[in-house]
Amino acid sequence: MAGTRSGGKKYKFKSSGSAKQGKSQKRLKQNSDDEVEEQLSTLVFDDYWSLIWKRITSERIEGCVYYHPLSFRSYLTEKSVKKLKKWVSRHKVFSSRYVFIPMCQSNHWNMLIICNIGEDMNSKTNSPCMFLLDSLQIGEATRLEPRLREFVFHLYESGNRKESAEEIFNIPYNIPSIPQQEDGTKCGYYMLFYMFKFLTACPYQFDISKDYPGFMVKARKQLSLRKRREKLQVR
Amino acid sequence: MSGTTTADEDKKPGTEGGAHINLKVKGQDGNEVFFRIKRNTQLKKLMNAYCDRQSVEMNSIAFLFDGRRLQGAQTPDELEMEDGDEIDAMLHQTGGGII
Repeated sequence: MAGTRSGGKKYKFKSSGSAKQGKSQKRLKQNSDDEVEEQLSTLVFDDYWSLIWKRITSERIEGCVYYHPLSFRSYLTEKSVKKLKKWVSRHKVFSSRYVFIPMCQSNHWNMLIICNIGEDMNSKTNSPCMFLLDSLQIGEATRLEPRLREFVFHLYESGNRKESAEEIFNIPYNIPSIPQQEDGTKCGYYMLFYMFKFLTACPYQFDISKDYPGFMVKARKQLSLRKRREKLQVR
Repeated sequence: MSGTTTADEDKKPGTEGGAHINLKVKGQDGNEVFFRIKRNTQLKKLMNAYCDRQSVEMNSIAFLFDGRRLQGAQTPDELEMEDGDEIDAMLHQTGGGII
C-alpha cells in the first residue's frame, strides 16, 4: 500500500493550506501546486460532470450513460468483465443512444463516445460507431485504439450480445478534428467542453452517413506525428 | 490473498435478519479489505474505516461502484448493492497533457 500512502500524504500537504506552512515551504511548493491546480483532477471531475448534465435538457440526456474515469482505470488494470456486466445491466447500456467513456491515462484526458451501441451492425443509418475526442492529437488516440476496442468487445460480452467478434472489431473508430489545447495543462477542461458541446449538438438518433454533429469535423488527412510535434514546439 | 484483512463494522449480528451486507473494497494494488455493514448505514462509515486502516487521506482516493463514484451519504440499500459486491478504491488522477 506504499503507493497509496505517498499519494495520500502528497495531497494532504497540498490541501493543508498556506496558513499552516512556513513561508519558505509555501514558496517552494507554489509552482508545482499551480501547475497541478490548472489540470483537471478526478477529485473535482464529478462536480463538473454533473454540472454539465444538469445544464442539458432531460430529453437530450435520455439514453446517455457514462462510465467513471476511475472505474475505467480499474477496468484497464484488472479487465474484470464481471464488474462491466453489472454496470451494463444496471444502466441499460445496450438500450442507450450514447455511451461516454471519459478517461485519464498517462496524465492525459480524452473521451470515447460510442453511438448506437445496441443497434444493428448492418444498418445503413444507425449502426454503431465510435469517436475518440482528443485535445492533443499527437498519436495517443491511435495508440489507444486496440485497448479501447478490447474494452468495447468486453462490453458486448457483458451484455450477452450475439454480434460476432469480427463485427465488433470492425465498428468504425473515428478521430474527428476538434479544437486543440495549446498548452500542457488544459486537456481535462477541453474534454468537458467537448462533452457539453456534444450533448447540446448531437441528434437524437445518430446517423453516421450524415454529417458529424456540432463542433466535430471529419478528420482531414491526419498530420504526421512528427509534424504535429514540430507544430507544438513552435508554439 | 496474503494482504487481506477483515474489518467487522458491526460485530454483533443484528436482530433483524438479512439487514447486513458483506462488501469488499479493493485497492489499486489488489489489496482487499472486507466489511460487514448494515444495509441502511451510510457508506461514509465504510470509507472512513477503510482510510483509517490504510492510513490514507479521505480525499486522496475515490470509491467506485457500478461505474459511479460513491457518495458518503449513500447506503447499500439505495444502491441496490448485493452481498459480496466489490468496491474499487482508486487514487485520484490528474491530467493536463502528455508533453
